[in-house]
Amino acid sequence: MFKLPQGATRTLVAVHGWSGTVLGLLLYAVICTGVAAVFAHEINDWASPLAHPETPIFAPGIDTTLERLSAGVDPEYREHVSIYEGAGGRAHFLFFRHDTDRAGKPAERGVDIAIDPATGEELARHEGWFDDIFANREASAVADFLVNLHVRLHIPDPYGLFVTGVLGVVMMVAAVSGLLIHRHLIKDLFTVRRRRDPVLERRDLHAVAGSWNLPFAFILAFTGSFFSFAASVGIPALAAVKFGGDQEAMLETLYGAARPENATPAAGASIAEMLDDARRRGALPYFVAIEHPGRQDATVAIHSDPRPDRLVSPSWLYDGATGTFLREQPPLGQQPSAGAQLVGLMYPLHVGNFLGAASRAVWFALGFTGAYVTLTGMLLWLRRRADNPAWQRFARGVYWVGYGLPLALICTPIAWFALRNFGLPPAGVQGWAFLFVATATGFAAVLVQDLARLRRGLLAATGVALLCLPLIRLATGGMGWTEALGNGVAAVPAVDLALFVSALACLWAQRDPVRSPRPAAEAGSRQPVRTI
Amino acid sequence: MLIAVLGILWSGAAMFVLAWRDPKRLRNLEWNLHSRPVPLPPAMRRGLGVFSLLPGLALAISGLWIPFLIWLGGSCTCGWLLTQALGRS
Repeated sequence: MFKLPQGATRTLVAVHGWSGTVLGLLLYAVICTGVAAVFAHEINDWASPLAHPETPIFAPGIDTTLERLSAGVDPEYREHVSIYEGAGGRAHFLFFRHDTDRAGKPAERGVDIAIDPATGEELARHEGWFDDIFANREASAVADFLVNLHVRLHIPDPYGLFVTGVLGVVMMVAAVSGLLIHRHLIKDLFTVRRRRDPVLERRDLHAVAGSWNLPFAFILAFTGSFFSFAASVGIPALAAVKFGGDQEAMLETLYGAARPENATPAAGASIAEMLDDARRRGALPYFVAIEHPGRQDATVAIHSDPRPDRLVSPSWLYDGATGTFLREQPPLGQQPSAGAQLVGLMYPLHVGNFLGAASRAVWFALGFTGAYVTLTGMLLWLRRRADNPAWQRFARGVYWVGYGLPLALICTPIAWFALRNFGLPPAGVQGWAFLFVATATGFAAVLVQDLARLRRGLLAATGVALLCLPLIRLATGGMGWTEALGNGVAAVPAVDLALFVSALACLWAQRDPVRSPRPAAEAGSRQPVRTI
Repeated sequence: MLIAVLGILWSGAAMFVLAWRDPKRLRNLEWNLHSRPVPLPPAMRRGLGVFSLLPGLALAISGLWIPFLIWLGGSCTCGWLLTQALGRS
């Protein structure tokens, strides 16, 4: 597409290759987990459904429930309340306060109560620092593990976010350099030269997938980097440069000044009525945040999903004491603006949540293509260096991560389902299961000499694990298909079926031999060699 | 949603013809001389290319950004799967 001088093309090829290779394995891990995390909502409903049809959590009884729960919570946690929908349609009431942790850093501490919105029954209660609360939520454990791996690779903040931000930049560099070095991007869109030279075949598989995925590779990498860097670098840097390090002042400028302090006790207006008012203004509430409940200066923010014809939605702010509507809050700033729209677009463009399961399915496919491009790119790079022993050692690492990571990711929920009735912390169980499988596959990568055999073995194991996952879920008390369909929980059969189809795909793929470049003596033969 | 699906079908059909009679793809496959499809002439390919983009253009001009994104993502995925499938045939 672009005709660059030979030297520039050579440099860009090197940039493309090295950018994808140096951090390619981590990038592959982030993409793979992101592909699964697209369906976090469905995974939650599949792993921990409630035994009755879904009940709206923002219903008229919300004030009574809030009052009841608030009365049983330590008063020091009543500084803020967040109300949101959790796994399987559970209603979560999170009471918390801003505090300072043992390292002297600002952190939040409180209690998270999950209730059944149909009966008001308390289902779970977790108390402590936010990190501990979120690590111990059983109902959303499977999706939480995936999301945490995707967002920060389970590395503590802010370093994990920084790493994933750098990986997003690497992906953008690879996408842009790939676009520039591909001279015949349009002409080659439909060309895969199979059964000729295996290097050419791999190059075509990588280039074709990369070409079709190019716009989305850029979008997903850019939006992902934005989220990682905004929290880990952007906000502190902006605060340091413009506000002398005062993050509070910066947030006031960006989102409006907090209302004047007034700690006088007040009964508080009805949240249900504020929700009704917000709905009349076009809101589809999914999250309610109450600041200083029970005080004269209480403020209620109603966050909304975008309307069906929109990608971005504002929030609605209310006076918590009187119920008076205060103003609409754009995603950024205090007035609607192009910048606010751009910031608001980042999330739907990254997760593809704007048209429910349909858009998420498309984003899943695009993410899968991205993972395929990353893996085939690394394998192509190694194939071109088949004579270099150091690179061949690295090839073991690529096979280990490329085919072992999906197996480890499937084994983590298996371990959680198997042990969930023993009162163990879900993040710990899944973390250890992941490490165990990763280590076992690492040993296999070292011990199995033939990489094609290693690939077949790991794919077959992944296929078997995928078949076992729904069975273990059922065997450990998971909801059956009849009950799920009776309760309108389509996620249960849908995810089970998706796992079954994926298992068949893995078992089919492991039969497909990996071809390597033909030795010179065989150059005239058209038969592929079946070892790497 | 329906409008996005119709757009994907429109573009998918155009892409199928483009891919099936793509000269470079045909050059690289082994064909029985009698059964080999005739490659599309360049003008026809360009025309079909524009034809395949029409749904996206119409959605973007109409400001229907959600169907546009679904169309773009769905068409790109279709294009890749089509190339994979035809490459194996």
